[in-house]
Amino acid sequence: MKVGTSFLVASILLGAAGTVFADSVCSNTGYTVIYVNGISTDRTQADDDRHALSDKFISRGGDPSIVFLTGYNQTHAGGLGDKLESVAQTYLEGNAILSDYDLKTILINLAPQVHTQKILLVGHSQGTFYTNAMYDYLIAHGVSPSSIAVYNLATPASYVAGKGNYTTSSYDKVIEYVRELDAEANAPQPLPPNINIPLPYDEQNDDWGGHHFQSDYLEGAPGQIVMDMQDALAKLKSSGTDTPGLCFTPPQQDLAYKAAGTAFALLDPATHGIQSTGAAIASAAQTMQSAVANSISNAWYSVVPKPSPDAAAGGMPLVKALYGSSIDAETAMELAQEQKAEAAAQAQQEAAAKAAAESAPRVEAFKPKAYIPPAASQSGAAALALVADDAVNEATPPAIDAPPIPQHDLVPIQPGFGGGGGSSAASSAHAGSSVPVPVTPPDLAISSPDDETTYATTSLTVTGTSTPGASISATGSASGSATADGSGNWTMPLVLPAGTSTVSFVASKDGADSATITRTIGIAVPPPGTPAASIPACAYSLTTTACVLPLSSVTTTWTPADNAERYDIYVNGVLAKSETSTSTSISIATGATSTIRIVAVNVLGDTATSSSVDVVSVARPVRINEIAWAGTASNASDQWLELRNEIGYTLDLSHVALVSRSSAFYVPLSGTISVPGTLGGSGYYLIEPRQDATNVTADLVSPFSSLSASGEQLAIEWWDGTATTTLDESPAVATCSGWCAGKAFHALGTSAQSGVPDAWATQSMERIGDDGTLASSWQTNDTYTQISGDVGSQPVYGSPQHANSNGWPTAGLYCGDAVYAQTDSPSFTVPISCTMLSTFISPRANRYVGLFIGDVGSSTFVTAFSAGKSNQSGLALDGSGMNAGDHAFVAVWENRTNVSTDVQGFEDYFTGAATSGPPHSNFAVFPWVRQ
Amino acid sequence: MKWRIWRWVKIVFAALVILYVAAAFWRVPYLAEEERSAKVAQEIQNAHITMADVDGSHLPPEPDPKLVDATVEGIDANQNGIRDDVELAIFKKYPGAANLKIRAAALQYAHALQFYMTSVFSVETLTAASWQDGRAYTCLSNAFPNKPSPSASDEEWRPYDALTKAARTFVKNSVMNMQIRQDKYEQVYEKFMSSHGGANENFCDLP
Repeated sequence: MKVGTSFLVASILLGAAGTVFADSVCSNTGYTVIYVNGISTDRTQADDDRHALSDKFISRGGDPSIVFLTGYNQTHAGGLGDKLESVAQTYLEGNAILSDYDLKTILINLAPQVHTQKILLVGHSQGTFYTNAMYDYLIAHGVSPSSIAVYNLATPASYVAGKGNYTTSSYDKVIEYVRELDAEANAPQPLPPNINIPLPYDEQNDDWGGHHFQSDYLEGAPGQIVMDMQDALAKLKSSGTDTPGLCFTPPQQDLAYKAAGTAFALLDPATHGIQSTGAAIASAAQTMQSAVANSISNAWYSVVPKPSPDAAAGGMPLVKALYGSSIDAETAMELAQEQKAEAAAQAQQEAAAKAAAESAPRVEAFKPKAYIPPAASQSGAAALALVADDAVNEATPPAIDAPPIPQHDLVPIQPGFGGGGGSSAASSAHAGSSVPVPVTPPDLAISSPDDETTYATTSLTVTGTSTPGASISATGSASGSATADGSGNWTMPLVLPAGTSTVSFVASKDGADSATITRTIGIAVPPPGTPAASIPACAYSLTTTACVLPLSSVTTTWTPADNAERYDIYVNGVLAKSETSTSTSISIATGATSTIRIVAVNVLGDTATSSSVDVVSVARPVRINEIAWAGTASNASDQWLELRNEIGYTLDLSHVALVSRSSAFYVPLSGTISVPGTLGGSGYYLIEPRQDATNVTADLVSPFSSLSASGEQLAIEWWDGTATTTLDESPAVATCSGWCAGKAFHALGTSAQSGVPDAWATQSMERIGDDGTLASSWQTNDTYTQISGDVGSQPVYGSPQHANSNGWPTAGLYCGDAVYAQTDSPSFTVPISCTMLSTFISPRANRYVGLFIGDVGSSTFVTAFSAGKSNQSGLALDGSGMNAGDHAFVAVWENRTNVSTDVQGFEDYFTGAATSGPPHSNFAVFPWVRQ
Repeated sequence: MKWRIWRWVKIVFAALVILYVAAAFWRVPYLAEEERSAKVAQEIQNAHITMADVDGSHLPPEPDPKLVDATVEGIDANQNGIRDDVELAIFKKYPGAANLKIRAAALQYAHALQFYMTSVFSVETLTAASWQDGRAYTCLSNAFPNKPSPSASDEEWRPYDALTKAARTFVKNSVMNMQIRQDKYEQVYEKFMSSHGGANENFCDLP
């Protein structure tokens, strides 16, 4: 089945190719860095170099989202092909790229992996020829010159494409020798060195010393390199919009390219195998290598232009000098024989052989140039004076047996090279050069701790002495680093695990390491002490029997415990947080009890748990329930207020006050509020300015400042010892442009008999909703609920120490559990008990209630009775004489005492017997239907 | 004459059809390998170590000394993608809670390098392994305490860089501890190296 599927896919692919990158997009954001390795860099090293470059870039603050690609510059013929190519490149005008095959391969491989318009090409050594060539190719094939830059390291090239930046060390033996040979051959010179990166200790005798990508450039001047890259990236500009397709057009894989690929496929494995045979047969391998190289020379030259005979002649010593013994004159001559022109080939052979012979001692005893620091008046790259030993006497070649020890000074790179330096790279670097000094390992001594010492803590500070400026590193059971100061002193904090630890210390300076010093240290930590937890705010609890707080988070403190590394704070058995201090703020659930425990933990993980502390969080423990801001009918100054307990605890008001937001009204409270429904507890708390303001006993008598009749916002505040918390609030004055409810000396009902209002009421403002700041949470006392009297024995239209009024209407029929207006026409299942509500009739007037079957004006009288002056008259609707669906109505009317015909007049009016209207208009009718 | 020409046309056409079918069959193994390569590359990219690998709760037993270096892959009894002897060496080198972050990064690096030993057989799988290698490389470079600020000078960075380099060398030498393993590492690169790379964002498996 799988084979069948693959066959189908294969068939399709045979017939259709392309469209692979149809969905690709070239983003106008983001960056791609392409690193192109140098000559003879093996494949693992090329990738490792890119990892190192990316790593240094990110560690020093570079954007980690930037894509780093390896543009792998292949090694051919075991390095031989690259070497010849490098030589020729230095001689060609503009350092033109020779291996079109490799360049194409890199570009073809990279094309589908580059997804950003902004590209930085970073080349090293021979790879810089490729970055220069890639730049030219890319801007000719879809990449804007403003969105691409080149940055080259250790470049033998004479320029950087796009006027990019570069870094070349004056200690780079390879580049300096290339420079010398180019000068002899009148070839373009490599760019001058612009930084001093001293040779690592182990490269003193290395012919490639100072030229390696990682050990020299990346480890020697990472700050400079990252800064240069960041500068280059910052200058790149995209087109502003994403573009469909690839970011550039890759080269065509034409016949010549494929032929070259085939040839290299044959050559490269063969030469690789040769190189792997080991040093014992190196010489024989080289001979074979040359033969293999010759055998494919036609393929090579099919893709690589031949260097001119003159250039090759000048290049031979360069080959020898650059690449040691990997090529000899004989090989060079064999290669030269591939030239078709017999005479030119002969001349080249002779020249190459001669040049090789002349340069042989130079190769064998490769000796870097001595660096002469510029005079004080000189500056910049032009001031660098790299003088060959033989510059003094051109005719005198370097001594064959001269030891290949570089004659650079070994002063470490100056801070100015790195990202943190203030001076420019060139000036500070060059200023740092001085007389060469021998490298000696730094000193190292440890003052504390002594070896085999046991401590009761895991955090130690190690102190010691070393050579000033040396870097001290610790490895083993713990790791750390430090730098010796100008006096040679250093300190290093370490955190060690429990038990026995071994830590090794070594000092490094100028590439040399001190002897290693090892310390064995024991860590024995006793168990932690037990902390005592508390919540300071509980001293201000809203009840005396528990810690009840109107808070959603509480500050918890505890006594410090011996040997505790940290404290874990548990809430209801769940770890809420960990602290190293002895105080923290903990979130607690509202409306619930939270149990808090503190667990002291030492460095070994041993624990000790505190006693638990319970805290109850309540959102609104008390509310402003009623405000008689207009006072009483007898005295407007007899303002009174009522609070109500909202929780199941007896409220302790010791730390609570009732305040106004807009006046001097301030009443510190005291005493308690009982739990509603408990024995002897109403749950209310009455505040009066004097005890006889009403005939209800006040819980607190306080001659407070009068409340304004034009409105105030009141609030209940709780004090926790350091700050106040608002427990409840009435509406802001602006909400209702005054008090939101309540009335002062208001006409109470009407009277047909007197023709003018004859009763007056002062009504309280009553709470009906949870959120006290809303107008809809308040109502005016409905006057059906009242108490017997104020100081003048007038009714108090309010409910001090009692439930607030029902909010009934001035005219209504209350049946079952609902109040009906005149327009409702409810259906009743009979019998049903009702109450006629009639405060629309003055309390000074009498009233009558009548029951009728039918509709007003065509009904049958059932019964009628006097309700006196009561505004709440009970009646029963039994449905006698009615069938389901029959209409009926209840009527209430003022029965004037000075007019004897009101009862009959209304009966006639309702039944239809009357020839005129009702006796007067102070009446109400409530229709209903029998269900 | 007309029929003879038509017969030749048919023969040529039949030959073309046969060639087409043969070519398609010839590509079957290649495409199957491509599918497998893409699948394994995806698996490499998705792989990561877990806290259980780092906190010591998942430690393997000490491997049999006779078998530990008998194969390129080595022994991975707890099947977490890290060779057991390397895993134990890292725990010994970076023990306890104080070294948790370093240990995690070192294990991630060992985990990444092990892909070269076990899973690379194509350009795609090498690209995936190299991407994991790069992430782990940077993760380990950021794992040690007292890391200098990005703007610190090279001198200030040097001790720290020396520490991270030593750690990388330790892990890499542990993974490539035998010639057969070094050869394997070089062979997969020799065969499958191409131009490739990626971003190292979120470089640590365990932040």
